[in-house]
Amino acid sequence: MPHLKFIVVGILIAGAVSYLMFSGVNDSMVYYYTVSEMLDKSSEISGDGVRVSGHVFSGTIQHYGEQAKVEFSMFERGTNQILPVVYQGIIPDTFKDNSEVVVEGAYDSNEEIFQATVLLAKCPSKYEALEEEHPESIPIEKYAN
Amino acid sequence: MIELGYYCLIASLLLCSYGAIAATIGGMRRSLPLVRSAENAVLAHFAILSIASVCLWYLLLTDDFLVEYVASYSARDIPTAYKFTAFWGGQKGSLLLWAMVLSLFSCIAVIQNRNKNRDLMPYTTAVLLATILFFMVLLNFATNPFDTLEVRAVDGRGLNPLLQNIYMIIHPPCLFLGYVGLTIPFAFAMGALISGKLDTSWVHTVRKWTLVAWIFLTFGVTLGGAWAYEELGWGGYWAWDPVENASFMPWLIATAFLHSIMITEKKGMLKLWNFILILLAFELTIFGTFITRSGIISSVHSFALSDIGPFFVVFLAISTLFGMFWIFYRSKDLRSEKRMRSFLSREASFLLNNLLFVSICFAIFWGTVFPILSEWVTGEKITVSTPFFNQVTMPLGLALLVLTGICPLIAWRKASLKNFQRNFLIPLTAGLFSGGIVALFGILDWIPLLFFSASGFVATTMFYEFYKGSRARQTIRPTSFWVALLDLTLMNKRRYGGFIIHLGVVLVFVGIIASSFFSVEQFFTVRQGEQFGFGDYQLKFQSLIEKKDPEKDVVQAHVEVWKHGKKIDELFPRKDFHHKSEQPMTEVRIRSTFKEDLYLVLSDISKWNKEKQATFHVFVNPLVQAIWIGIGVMVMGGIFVLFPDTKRSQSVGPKKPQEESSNEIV
Repeated sequence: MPHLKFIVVGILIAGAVSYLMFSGVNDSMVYYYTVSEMLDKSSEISGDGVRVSGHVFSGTIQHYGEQAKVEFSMFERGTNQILPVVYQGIIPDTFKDNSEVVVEGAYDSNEEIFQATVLLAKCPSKYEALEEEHPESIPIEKYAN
Repeated sequence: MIELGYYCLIASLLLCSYGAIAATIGGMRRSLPLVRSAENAVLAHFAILSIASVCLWYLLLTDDFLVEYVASYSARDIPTAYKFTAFWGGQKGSLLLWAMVLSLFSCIAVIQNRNKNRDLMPYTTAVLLATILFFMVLLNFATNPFDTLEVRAVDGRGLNPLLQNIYMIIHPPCLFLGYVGLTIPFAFAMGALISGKLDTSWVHTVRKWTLVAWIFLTFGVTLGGAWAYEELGWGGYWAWDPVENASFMPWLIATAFLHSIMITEKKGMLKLWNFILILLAFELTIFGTFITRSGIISSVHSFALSDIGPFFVVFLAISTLFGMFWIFYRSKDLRSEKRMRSFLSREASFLLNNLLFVSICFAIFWGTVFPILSEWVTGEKITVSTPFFNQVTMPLGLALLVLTGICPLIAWRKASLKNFQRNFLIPLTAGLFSGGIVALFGILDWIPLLFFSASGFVATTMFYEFYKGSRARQTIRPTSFWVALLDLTLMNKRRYGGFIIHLGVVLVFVGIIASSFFSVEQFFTVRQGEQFGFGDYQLKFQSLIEKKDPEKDVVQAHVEVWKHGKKIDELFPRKDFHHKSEQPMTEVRIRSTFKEDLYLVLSDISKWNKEKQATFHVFVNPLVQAIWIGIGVMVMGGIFVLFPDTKRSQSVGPKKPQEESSNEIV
């Protein structure tokens, strides 16, 4: 059967690709939490790699010019939980009071601070500047993102 | 003008509903008048939608801020060019542009096939119109660009400064042209399936369409990367963000399709596979639009959480099921005319090429939707990031690259050992040799070494093919080598144009590997007048100047670039503070040479006033230009293939040498 060897090779390729994907997922997967989810689980995941999304709490950004280090607090809309973050690296232009951010890193439950290695702030959207309901005390953003 | 635009959209909706039904019934009853009427509906639709588009442009250019769309994406004081391009600055307009381009392409397809492919055309027309209908429904009921505000706005919000540059003017329409271009082959494939006329005529018809779409996609995806590189200031051009992946996945499948149809045309194999690929490519264009617009996957590019998500899901589901049904229904008639005989054959290498492209696409798809899947399955959102994509795509990409070099060297049907020895000796030696040279330069990391050796191997194969072909021509008709080379290339554009594209691919690989493995970066905080050394460069921070424009405040650093004791350049990285937007814009400055890019970011200026200090972020990225040049070569090669083959001159003898046998297509 001439087809058989093609089937075998097909299975081998599929196996190799699955292996690559499986090991890739294992090596680079991180849990994705909101601020409150992350704080609820803070004791179990202290030190593990996680990704957390939230908003920058107005007025908390402190720049330390040396080596582009920054400290700020994140909050989650609709909750009153706050996560202090320290980050060193490239600070995106879109990072400012109130902007929606995603940080990746690990939570240090002793210091009660999130050590971020990645800081992403939402890019300006070409499509629909989206107006959300803003809690009081937070100024309406002109460019929602 | 607002009303006119509004009514034009309604008229377009009715017209394409009518056309889709007329084409279907006309096809079933074999009624030519009805089919002609549907085809005319395609033309009329384009005319009416053009009027709607002109209306929107008129409203944008006349600053009519009663229109919500104009107020959101334009403003009085932005340059006229940006008012013009604000047409596709937002979601509503870009969907209108999409519908416009699709309508235009459909017109061209209909006109081209007035007297051709008559069995297919009724259903092809119906599928095209049904796809347009989807966009017309969106434009009429979900995101109407002619919606008005309750009160006329005093001024518009303007276009985000990050998007005010040449890349963002060309990038979206370019991607759309690519996406829409893939709709035409899909429609012809469906036409072939529904009409049951399953010979390769549809493949001939769509080959150039797919190629045009592929060229635009290649260009569009690259423009997105180039924009990120020059505007976002993190020193890279690709981050495996869902939005980037969304544009890359259709490209991968379109590329696989372009390869597989060659085998169908030449050998009558892979017929069923073509249909699957083109369905996949089409669905991925819709899926890509869906994930970028629906907000279902969080991306750094936040495209709004708009309410058009459900529309896309429904359309995706219907069109996928529809396509799958017809492929399944006709699957018995889609058997290969010949069987594949050996792995060591060119056919098999094409099959492997296709499997690799699809595997890469599948892995990227998996990584992109992983957060959604994991949330469904485990209740926890888990994401994968850059390492996942790199780990998966690198080995597969390497395999693909090597295959590019192997394919032209092995014979059709079944290659012999002798064939191997004769053909592989030179390219393999060249590959090992280039690896050796790279190692001599001190690069001992095995992944780059493998890639550079493979690149040497592939490039040599390509040049060797040109050389062999030209020599063979010279034996039939004695001319100079260069004339023979030119003749050869012009007479067999598909084969040699393809090789040109592959040479571009090699350049892109070299650039990507060099810039990802050997890029270096560092932060420097320096006082005015101080120097800092990085790599071969000495950078001298001269001054920081503040300027006030009507639109923005600019803080600009003046940095001299010295190398080997000579001043070679001056760079002015800056931060712009646009009055309309609260965020500063960091404008990087790049000194680009083929060897490397010196990439300079003015990172922090908070200590300027007190201590006259500024922080710079410096990157040296090697061979980034190779990527842009490689893409340029790929696009030029693609355009070259589009031209029809020159007629063979009479003097070519009846017995052609092997290398040039019977108008080889691959």
